[in-house]
Amino acid sequence: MPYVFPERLYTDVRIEHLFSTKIAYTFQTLDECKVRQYAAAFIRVYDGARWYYASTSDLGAVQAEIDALAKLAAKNDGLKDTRIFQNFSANKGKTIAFAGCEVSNVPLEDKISLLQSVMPFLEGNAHIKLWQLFYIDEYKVKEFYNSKGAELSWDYQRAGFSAHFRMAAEEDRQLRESYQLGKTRFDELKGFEEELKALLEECNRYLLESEAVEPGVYPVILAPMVTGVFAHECFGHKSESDFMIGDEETKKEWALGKKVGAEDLTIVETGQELGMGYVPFDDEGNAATKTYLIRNGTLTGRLHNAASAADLDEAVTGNARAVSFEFEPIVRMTSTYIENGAKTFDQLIAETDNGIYVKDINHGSGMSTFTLAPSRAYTVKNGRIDKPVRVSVVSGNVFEALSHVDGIANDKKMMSFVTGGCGKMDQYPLPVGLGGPHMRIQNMQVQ
Amino acid sequence: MTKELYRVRSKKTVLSVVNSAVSAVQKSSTVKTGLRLYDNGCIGVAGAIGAYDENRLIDHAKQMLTFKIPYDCGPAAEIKRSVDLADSFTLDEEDFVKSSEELLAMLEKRYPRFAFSHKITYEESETSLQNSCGADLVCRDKAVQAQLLIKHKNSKSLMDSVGVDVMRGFDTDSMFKAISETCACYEEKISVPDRKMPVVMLLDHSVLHKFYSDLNGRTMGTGASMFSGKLGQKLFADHFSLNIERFPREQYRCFFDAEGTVLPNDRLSLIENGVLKTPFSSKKIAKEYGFAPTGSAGGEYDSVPDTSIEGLQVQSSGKTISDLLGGRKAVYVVFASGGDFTSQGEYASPVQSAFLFEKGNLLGRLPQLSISSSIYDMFGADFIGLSSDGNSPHTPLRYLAMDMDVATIGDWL
Repeated sequence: MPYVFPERLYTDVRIEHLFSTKIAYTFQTLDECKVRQYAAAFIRVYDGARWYYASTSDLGAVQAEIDALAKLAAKNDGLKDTRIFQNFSANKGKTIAFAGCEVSNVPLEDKISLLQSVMPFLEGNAHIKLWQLFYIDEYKVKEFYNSKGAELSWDYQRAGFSAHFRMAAEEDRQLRESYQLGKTRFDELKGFEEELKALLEECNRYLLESEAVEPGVYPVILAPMVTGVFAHECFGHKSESDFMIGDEETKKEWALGKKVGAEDLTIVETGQELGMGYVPFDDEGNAATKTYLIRNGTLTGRLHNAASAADLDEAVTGNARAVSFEFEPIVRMTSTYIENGAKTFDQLIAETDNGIYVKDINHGSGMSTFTLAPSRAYTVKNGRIDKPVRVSVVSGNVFEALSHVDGIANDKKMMSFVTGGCGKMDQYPLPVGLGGPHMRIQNMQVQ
Repeated sequence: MTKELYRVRSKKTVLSVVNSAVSAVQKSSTVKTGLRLYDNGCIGVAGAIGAYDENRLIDHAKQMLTFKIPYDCGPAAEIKRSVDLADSFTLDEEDFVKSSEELLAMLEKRYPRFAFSHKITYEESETSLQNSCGADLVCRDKAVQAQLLIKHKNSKSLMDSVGVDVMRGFDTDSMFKAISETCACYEEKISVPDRKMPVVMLLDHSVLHKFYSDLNGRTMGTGASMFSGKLGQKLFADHFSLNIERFPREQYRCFFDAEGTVLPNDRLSLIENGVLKTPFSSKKIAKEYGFAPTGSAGGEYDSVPDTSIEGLQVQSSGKTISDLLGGRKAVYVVFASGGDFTSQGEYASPVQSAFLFEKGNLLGRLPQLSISSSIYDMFGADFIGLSSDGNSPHTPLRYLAMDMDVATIGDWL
């Protein structure tokens, strides 16, 4: 153990060794080429009543930071008997998933060449007025030590590119869209050409043919990526149980065992699978789990850190995450997805007389009313996809929407975003995974 | 070769608040340095967090220069200015924690049916830019910011309102008033008929997002903006002006941007009395597309400076919100999360938390609403104005008001 921890207090140290790259082009001009490397630490001391935190980029000063925080705390003989203390990790071990394929070993020139290989698809399109390309990667090794004896290290990696473009045509027609490919290894960033070409062709048509939607209440069919955002925004944030600490009304509203959705609706959350939301250990040193948030329409689980699990008398789930060494771990999602249903996408469309198909979105948000802001949407008339329509926002009530899901297809896909990420309070952007199959929800407000 | 150091220092104490009590105290002190080298019309940047070896940073920046990132507008030169607002008050960390605990105790005592959570921050910050061309710019400040999410204990929502105050010092009474302004009337349920009526926003000016995207110099210059080709045209109301404003004292903003551009009188007009004058641009983008630089360069400490929205500000009407509304009732929006514009400028958003506002007072809580309009209406015929007053004597926040279509989409939560 590299540190001397004060007695009668709980202490942990999280060290982050980061390598990251960002390359940006506007048209064929290089705007940014950045490599960032640092090592830094976040230190926590807990006395049973209050936490004391410090962060430092001087790893030689960690012991001094521990000692300084300990002076602020009150020694507590009974701390070991508390539920929260029992929830702190005593795990040991090394979990390295990316040895030999670290993005830190890929030459910058190869990353630039990858972006240059995307350029011909965007060049020469008469409708594209502005295009930008971004390459982003991150390789992180974390170490974790605590006063219960935990000694852990694990790694995390992501790499990907994003092609953003803005199209314009006569009659003030505009379209803003992007193509993103995110993986955990650089050598997986290939085979995108046909998908990108098809997207650009569809965007050309959408730009010229889309009409303003007739506002109203519709059944809405979500594409797999949009289903993933729906699961994350509409329900995932409500399963982050730090919001429930000391809140009896919320505990009642989201009581486990309550029926909230259709029989075939199952929502899963896990940090165990490789992807953007891969978190083998969380930032409190607890191992990732697979949590069924909803199983067959019934609330069956929620996400915890040590404190929320203690408050709700439930087990930790490995969901304590911090966006960087400057922040404390709070309850966050990892990878969230809706499991396959029994229908096909064609069946969902064929069963819909007058609805909206949301194929892609710019963003989504979730509070009491959740929203999805479509970038491309289509009307569905008499069982067929009909015309492209411009929609500002699709919204619904989080307390009702899950029970309005009335069709789930069997074509689940997991999505990986390269730019952006999940935001909660001041911690943004946190990489997460999300996905699901095509899914239909009744009674959605479309504006 | 020109060498430039862009540095952001921050020393802060952050109190995490859960259920109206301090749950954690965080102390941090960080220095983030970007070292930039300019040579032959190109830029190379290297960054460091904390202590660093300057020779190694220079070597890294030289290596980045080999990638030939074009930057031919030249660094800031022969300009010196220092603004220091950090000495305007004294508050030690112990007193900060004690005052915060007193504030939370007052809130808990007066409003026991509400839970207050999130953060109270005391931060001393310094941003500086120095280079070998004679630029020497420093802006120091120190402030306390309370940002507390408010939840009624019987509510099913994760949060029902938010209270914010910012000040140099710790005025407990002012903070109490600003943070709890929606609590007193929360249990009074009021509805409004579906119609066009004034909508007032204090914290969330997301209706400006279309300007963020389409008034960007790069978007305008490439013809990808809905405003492309419309420079010099009267597009909005006579009384609508949109500026870049960098007033350190009033707005708690750094007076220079990430390229070291300082605006005359710290202000520049983008839209003046409804007429589109210029987009917001960094020096690099301004030169590339033939616009005037607007002091709008931003980015992370170790980034090549790029155009950012920092400082974009609706010009104040000089009137209080009560005078602007002239006795009309208004929807006061606390949360309107997830709304957006279509590419043609049509806007819609759900409103998750709103109150009815009349003559400077909140009368009661409104049900779930939607608001909708279009960019040319919101800042054209339906624009009311930006108030001269905010929610406290200290905060830089101001009320933005306009008529919009308001419709009820759900019950009170």
